[in-house]
Amino acid sequence: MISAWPTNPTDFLADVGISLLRAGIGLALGASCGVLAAVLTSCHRIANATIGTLLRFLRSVPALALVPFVMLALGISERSRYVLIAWAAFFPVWINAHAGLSNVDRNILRLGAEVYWRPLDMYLHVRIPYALPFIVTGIRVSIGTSLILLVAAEMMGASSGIAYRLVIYQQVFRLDLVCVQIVLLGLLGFLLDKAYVHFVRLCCPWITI
Amino acid sequence: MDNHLTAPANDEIVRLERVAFRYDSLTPLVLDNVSLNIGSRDVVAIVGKSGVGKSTLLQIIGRSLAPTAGTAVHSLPVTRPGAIAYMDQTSTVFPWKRTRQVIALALSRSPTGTASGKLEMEDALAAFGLQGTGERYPQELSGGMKQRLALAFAVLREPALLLLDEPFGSVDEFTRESLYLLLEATLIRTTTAVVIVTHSTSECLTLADRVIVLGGSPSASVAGVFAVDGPKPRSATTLLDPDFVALNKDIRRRIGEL
Repeated sequence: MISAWPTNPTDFLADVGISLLRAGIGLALGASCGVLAAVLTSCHRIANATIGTLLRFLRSVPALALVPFVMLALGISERSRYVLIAWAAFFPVWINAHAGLSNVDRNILRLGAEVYWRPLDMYLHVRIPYALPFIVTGIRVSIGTSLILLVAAEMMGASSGIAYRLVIYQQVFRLDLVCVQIVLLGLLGFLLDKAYVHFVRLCCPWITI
Repeated sequence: MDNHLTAPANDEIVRLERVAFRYDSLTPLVLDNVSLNIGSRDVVAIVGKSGVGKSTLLQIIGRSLAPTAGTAVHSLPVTRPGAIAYMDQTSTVFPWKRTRQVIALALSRSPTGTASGKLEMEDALAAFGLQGTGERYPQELSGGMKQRLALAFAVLREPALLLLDEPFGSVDEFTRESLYLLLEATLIRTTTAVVIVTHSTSECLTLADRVIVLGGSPSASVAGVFAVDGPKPRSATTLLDPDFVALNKDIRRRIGEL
């Protein structure tokens, strides 16, 4: 099976599918936590000084160094792969969303306060929409960083996925097939970015991306 | 022209009594001993040299600053949420809302549901010269259109108090004159009181019933109150009438003396 060229098409599609699924779940998890954390750290000075400082420390830990830890703590499972990818996706979203939420234009805030009277409405209708272009950029960056962790997670103890296949081909010295997987990973990132830009333009035409 | 405060006969909505204000205890008072009344439907202009504290006074009138000394009394119509609308020359609107959504939001906040609140969407768009732009975002509008949209958002809410801080400073003369007409045409059906801070004496004379000259150093107070009589709307040619020319001179002299 390994020496076959071209690769078995069902295996090939299954690899792309499982990698895409892992990246998607991890991204969704990381991005939503990133936005939530940004709401917390931007809403109060003390929250920023405590939670924000902790997150800034965690951010400076190289994510790849966490791979062995997570594998030990959560086991060699899909769950630990999601966590690793989410971890990588979290920080770009949090940093950008925090910047957006804490620098809302004063004129916009004043105008918003004239028509939205509850703090929740201010968040939903003024602060978050204002920060949306920042959040969108954060998610775009995190698509890239999450793929790095996807590769790391699939190289450690996975039994499927593009990067898993890459390691297998490396072990049997199939440089040609290794290259195929590398190109495939590049293509995956590129197409994910394209699809994401398309999605944002569709949902929020007012954002220039 | 009289130097006395002409108090409105009834339904007074804001009263300042001997108001003083400083931004922090280390700096001198910005305003000292400022007293004035604003009634509903009043159009009051505040003029004075740059840096004299006009915008500070506007913020005290609008309850976003509290006086350091003296009292600022705001009556019920001004204290309910959304009763005060503020507009300046930045023509700020929400970048994520289409023109139609901005107008709809303003109409939904109209307290009475009468007068301009009853305007249908298309009428409102047409009244502000925004027909055909309903689906556009602010960044797709021209400067003048954006300013008209900001004005529509302020006025269609029928605020009890409309605060204008040099609102037409950044638009050209002809646009400005059309905005004057637009403002007056919309206000005529409401009880909205307007306080407008401006550098332009002709703007005062076009729009205001009363002009308050703010001046004095280091702390400013009311240095003169001029009543502007005569029917509205007043055009650029109205201002060439001898009465208006004389009044214009008086106001300019009073600002200059300080």
